[in-house]
Amino acid sequence: MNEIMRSTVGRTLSQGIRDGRRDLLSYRPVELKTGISANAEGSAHVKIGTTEVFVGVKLAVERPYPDTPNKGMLAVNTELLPLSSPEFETGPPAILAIELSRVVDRGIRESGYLDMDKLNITPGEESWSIFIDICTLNSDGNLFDAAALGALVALRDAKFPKREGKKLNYKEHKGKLPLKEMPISVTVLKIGSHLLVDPDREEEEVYDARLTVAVLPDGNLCALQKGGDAPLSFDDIERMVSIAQDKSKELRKLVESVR
Amino acid sequence: MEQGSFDNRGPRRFGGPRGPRRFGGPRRDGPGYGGPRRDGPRYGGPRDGPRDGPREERQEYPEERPQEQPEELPPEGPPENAAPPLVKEREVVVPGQELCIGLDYLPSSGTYRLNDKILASLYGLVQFRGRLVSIIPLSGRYHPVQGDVVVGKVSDILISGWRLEINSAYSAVLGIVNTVGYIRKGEDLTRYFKIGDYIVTKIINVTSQNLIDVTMKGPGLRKLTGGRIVTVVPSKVPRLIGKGGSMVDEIQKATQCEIVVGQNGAVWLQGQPESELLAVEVIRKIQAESHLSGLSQRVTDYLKERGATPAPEVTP
Amino acid sequence: MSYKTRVDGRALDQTRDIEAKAGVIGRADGSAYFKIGNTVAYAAVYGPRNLHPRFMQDPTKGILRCHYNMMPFSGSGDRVRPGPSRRSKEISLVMEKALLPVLSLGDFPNAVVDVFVEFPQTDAGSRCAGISAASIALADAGLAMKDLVPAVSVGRVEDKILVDLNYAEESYEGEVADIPMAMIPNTGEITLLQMDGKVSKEMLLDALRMGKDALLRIHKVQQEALKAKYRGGGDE
Repeated sequence: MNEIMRSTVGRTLSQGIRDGRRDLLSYRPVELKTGISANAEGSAHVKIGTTEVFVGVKLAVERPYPDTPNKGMLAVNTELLPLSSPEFETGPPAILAIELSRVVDRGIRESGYLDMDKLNITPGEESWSIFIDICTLNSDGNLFDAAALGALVALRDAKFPKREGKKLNYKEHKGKLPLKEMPISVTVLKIGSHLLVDPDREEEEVYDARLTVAVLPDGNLCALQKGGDAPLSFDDIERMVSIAQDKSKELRKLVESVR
Repeated sequence: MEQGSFDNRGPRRFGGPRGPRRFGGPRRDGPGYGGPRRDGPRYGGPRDGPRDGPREERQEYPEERPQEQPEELPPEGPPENAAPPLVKEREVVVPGQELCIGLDYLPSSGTYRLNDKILASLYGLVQFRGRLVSIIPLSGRYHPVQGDVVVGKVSDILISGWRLEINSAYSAVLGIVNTVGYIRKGEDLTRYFKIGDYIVTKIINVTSQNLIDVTMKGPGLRKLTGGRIVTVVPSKVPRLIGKGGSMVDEIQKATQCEIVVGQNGAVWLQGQPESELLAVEVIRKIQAESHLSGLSQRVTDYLKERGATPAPEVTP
Repeated sequence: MSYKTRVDGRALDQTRDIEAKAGVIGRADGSAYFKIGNTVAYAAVYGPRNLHPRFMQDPTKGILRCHYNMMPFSGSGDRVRPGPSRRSKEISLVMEKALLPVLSLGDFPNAVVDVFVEFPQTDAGSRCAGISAASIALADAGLAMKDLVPAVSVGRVEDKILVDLNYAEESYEGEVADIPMAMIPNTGEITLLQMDGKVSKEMLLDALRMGKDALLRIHKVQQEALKAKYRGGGDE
């Protein structure tokens, strides 16, 4: 572990101030934009401070899975682009990319945000298949929340391509996706005895444990993911969930304000 | 096409010879900037046993300070009868841009001649010194030069030393023979420096294949504990140091932070957490505005505005 | 047959609208954004840095590696499968060859300069946009270069010679030739030249001449992007 960084982060946190003069429970400025790719059915550009991700949604019509013949399909994929960080390399997805994809997937799937029943066209024959691709542009801390926000904004932006017989006309779009209750993911980190949100890169390098909590509009939870090497106490979990519930309200407003 | 060959280049690297024609900043033969010369346990050798590095004599920073070198070249301005240059002094230019025409001018670092023209080969600020035309780069990694003090981060433990990342294309090696004190053969080297530790070192050799040797033998060279690291673009280090160290001194006084500036752009600072943040902010400001004139005044104003302790009179 | 007016109403020698910006990716050593019509490229440069594995190193000079990649949602039509394809590998290769002649990597034996070019949105001309973006990013990274390298496609649709074909023109039913080209403006030398389609030698040379003028205009945009980064108050 990097001693200098650990001591720095620890001392700064005990003073309740962080780089950029924010407190432990403040996000860096969050900016959400849609329509960054005309060829995607929906797309989003998320900035959290200096971290930036692009998210695109593509639709296709495919045969539903045999065990869910009446439902649509969802796949979430993350590309940790080597353009976005000196630490990312070309090649097959790193474990972080896989974890990120699965955490975003779980939040959307378990909340029922995407109405899978309405994505079926003909039972057992044809269903809409929704691909969410998350591409990092500048990796500077808190990719988890940036990716989750991007997925929501891109889904809200997405429209169905026009069906012409068996083929899809990707030039013409009509109708928004069937969306229900939106899950907002907040990742809370534990460093020493401190709990904080929206880690920057230095903080991410020295954290002990993290908990990503997906929160529904009524405050209930629909997905969790604990990460990091250190264990969490019951008390930690209670506090982290409360922080996530609280912060999710701000983020929800922000996502809902995006046209 | 043959890669990496330009006509009209001297034998040196592209950055050109490191001579007095470099940036207006101080010479690079100083120990880096070690902060106010208060004597105390924050300086020099280890405090608590071998964990902090090899035993060494407490080092004090030398009294003499790197001084602004007088220009050895003819006074500024183009030679007589020469066609006026196509760009202004300190203008931002880009690779391939024409700077001046005619044989009255000579290409220096960051420029090359194409027929009767001198063109930029780097993105940076133009500098005319007599007949010489050069570019002060605005970006780029650190080019290791013998004698430079650099702040390195331990990235690997070798059989008889440590590998350090120094924000360059190449890593440096600190051999146990170049540390202070005695380390027995076969000893666990992580007892001295662990991966992730930062060390102030001096470059003692750079080979043609860019193998870099550094040493800890010398004043101010040591392992850094506590504090924080910020990195700046190496070409902006002279602006951060300031004329005769004036800029870094001002920041140290105003923020009460101790600061070590490596020529490789790694800057270590230590003080109260709040002051450290202020120092980081002002260093970032210097990096962002280094190409503009009136930098010192703006830094002074900024420090005042952010409520830093007013800097006491500077005694030269 | 004659191609009377272009699908988007441009003059024959007119490129689509171009926007460029230097320094858009904070973590990179150098970076750029280059948009031409609906084709958007982001380029990031990392290096010179250590090259692994060792057998790829060149003890006499640094090497340049380009990595062309379309984001999965960037293409019109179906989703693009992530990861390298034969197409993206070949484009990466010709991008390297287009940029190498202006670079001086002799000071960096055994090291590598990596250029990553990503496209969130494409509408033909992506390799050219990629080269134009990459050369801004290389300059932004502080690498020594003889010149910036602008790139554009030229070609023919039926009897007309034109610059910067968009996707609708590339896929026009009839005689079409698409000729991506890149140039070192200071010397007029060509560093990228490919073609698919059919042309006569005369048409080819006419097209290259028309392309040259367009490239000089793109070159201005590239220079301006770099200069704009250090304009104004400096609060980047």
